[in-house]
Amino acid sequence: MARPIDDHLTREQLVEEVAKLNRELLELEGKQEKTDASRAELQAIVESAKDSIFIKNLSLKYTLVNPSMCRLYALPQDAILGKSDRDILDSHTALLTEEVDRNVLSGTVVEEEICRIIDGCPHTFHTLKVPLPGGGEKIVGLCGISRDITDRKQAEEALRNAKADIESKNRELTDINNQLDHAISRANEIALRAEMANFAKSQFLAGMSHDIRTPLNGIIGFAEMLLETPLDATQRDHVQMIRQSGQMLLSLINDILDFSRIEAGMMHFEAIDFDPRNLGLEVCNLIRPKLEAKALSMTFRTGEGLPARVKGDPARFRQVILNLMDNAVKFTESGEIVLSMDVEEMNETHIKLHISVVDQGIGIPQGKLAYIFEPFTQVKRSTTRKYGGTGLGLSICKRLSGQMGGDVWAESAVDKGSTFHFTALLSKSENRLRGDRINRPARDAADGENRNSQVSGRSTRVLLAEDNPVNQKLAALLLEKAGCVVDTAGNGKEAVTKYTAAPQDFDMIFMDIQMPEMNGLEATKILRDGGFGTIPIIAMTAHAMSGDREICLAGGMTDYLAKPIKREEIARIVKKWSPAGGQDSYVPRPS
Amino acid sequence: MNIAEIAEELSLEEGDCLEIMELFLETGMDDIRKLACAIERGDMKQAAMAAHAVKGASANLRLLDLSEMARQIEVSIHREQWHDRCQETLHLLQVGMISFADDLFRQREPSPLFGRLNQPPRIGI
Repeated sequence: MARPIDDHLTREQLVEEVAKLNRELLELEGKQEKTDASRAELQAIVESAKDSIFIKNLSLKYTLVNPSMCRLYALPQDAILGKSDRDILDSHTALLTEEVDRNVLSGTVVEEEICRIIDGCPHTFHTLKVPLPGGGEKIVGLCGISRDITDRKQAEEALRNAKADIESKNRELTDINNQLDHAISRANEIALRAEMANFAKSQFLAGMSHDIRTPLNGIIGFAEMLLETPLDATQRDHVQMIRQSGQMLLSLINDILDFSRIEAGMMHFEAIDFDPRNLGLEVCNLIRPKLEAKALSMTFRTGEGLPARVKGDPARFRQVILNLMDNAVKFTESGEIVLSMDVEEMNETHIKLHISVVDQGIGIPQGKLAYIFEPFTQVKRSTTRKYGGTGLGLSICKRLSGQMGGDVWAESAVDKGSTFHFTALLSKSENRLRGDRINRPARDAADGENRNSQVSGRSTRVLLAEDNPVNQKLAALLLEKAGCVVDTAGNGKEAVTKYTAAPQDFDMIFMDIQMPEMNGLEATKILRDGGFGTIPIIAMTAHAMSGDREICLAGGMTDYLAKPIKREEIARIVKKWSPAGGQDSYVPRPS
Repeated sequence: MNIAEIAEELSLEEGDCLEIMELFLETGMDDIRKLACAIERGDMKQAAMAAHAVKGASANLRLLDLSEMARQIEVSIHREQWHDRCQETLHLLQVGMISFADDLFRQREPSPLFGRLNQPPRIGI
């Protein structure tokens, strides 16, 4: 602003010049005021700012610090001004800061986040450093503004952590879900395999039950037929024994097939009335033939108060006793076998029977007593060879008794003999008077009712000629449901024989068309030609072809029932053609 | 195959229905065995009879798959298409019968083991 004054100025000029200077001075003063004012404003902003604000000169000494900065460093202003970072901070931090500062002084704007420990706590600062130009291009220092962003950082960090936490939890859950999926597919795979194994087992059981039952039914059936022929007392006794043993074996086979059902907890127990004493005698009769080869006697004693009838599953009950008796005979060479039947406990509704079987056989070593009720166990391997058996018997007994609310256990002394105990909780019989029903399954009782009604003549009496056992059974059941009493024939020939033997016993005939030996049309022709013109003959056939009906009717049949058999159809036809239904006689159609 | 449903359709008690089913299992298996033997021997008459028996019985019991397969065999036999079609269908029929047996055995009493695992529990956010 200094201006050279011309030495050769006139006074006026000088005055003029002074006046000018004065004006300029005044102007300058005004400017100064303005500058001062804006400087004060600036000062106020800087002083009150929450951010730390500082200026360093070229030698990096502080030329300005605001109170925030002082508070941060916990130093008075004087202790900072004119000092460099080296004087305030530790040397390592100071060096790092200096390097950045020099960078700024060379003209770069630097933004940095730095962490400092203040009062033992880590603080994060966001700092902006800009080079400070003097007049013109020349840099005279740097200005910095620094803000404590610890809180924000912490919030961010917390957010990040929470997010990471959630992500890791989600990953864990995904893992768990994957594991579950895996476990489920494994379980399903195992289940499928089990199902396949079960399938194979069922297949085996189906085959076995059929293959064993067929010849056995032959034995029983022929024994029954033999009983119809003239026999002397001994022969009759023997044949009866064959039949009875066959039936026993059949039920045992069923029972052994049931073993898997017990194992699977799917065993079904019947609740029907039976006489325990009779049952004991039955078992003794079955066992008696086995005694003959040995020097053995057998006693059956019943305790006091043994009721004449109890309610339970006689087949299972007998199976257990038979098994224990069978074992006693098997393992005893000479002496006596005693079967006892006592009442152990009794209350209003239930009765607990205690059955014991005492033998004088080889006995069971003390250590083995616990194992004999395990499946497939006999005392020694050699036992199986000598005495036979599957080793399944006692384990079936144990399980059966358990299901009957009782138990099976044994006491034994080697070479002295064994005592087997069997308890079962049975219900008291409700109908004490109806003795004729005793020991008969419900189905037999129902059949008896049907027979009774047949005598009274209330029902329509039907002769059903059908070769297929399934169709025969189904048709018979549905006819019974329609109020009929049903007699069956396996083919046309049998039907003709049965009917012609007692035509007064039948109200109508249901006749399958396709049968072996003699088909339905042939049988019908024989009947009609034989003078039985009025009996309604209903054709049953699956032939769905049109004209089938006409063939049947032309063949002398009365009506036509299409297969598959439907209950309503059967009921309709029975009603239509039964004597009570108003149709008294059959009038043959002219053919 | 659902015994309860079939029993209802036939208006039978389930016990009766089960009994007939078991009867069918025995006779049906026997018939199928006869059918297989007859086809093997080329005994057309015997084969047709066996197929007819299976067809009728299974239709009565509303076992429509079995009935249809038996019907196809019967038709094939009548059309004298012996080995090309019969064997294949016969095999299917045998499998169907075994599967029926399996079904039957399992439906006598409900099996508690299966069915629960099929719905995986789901957890997540």
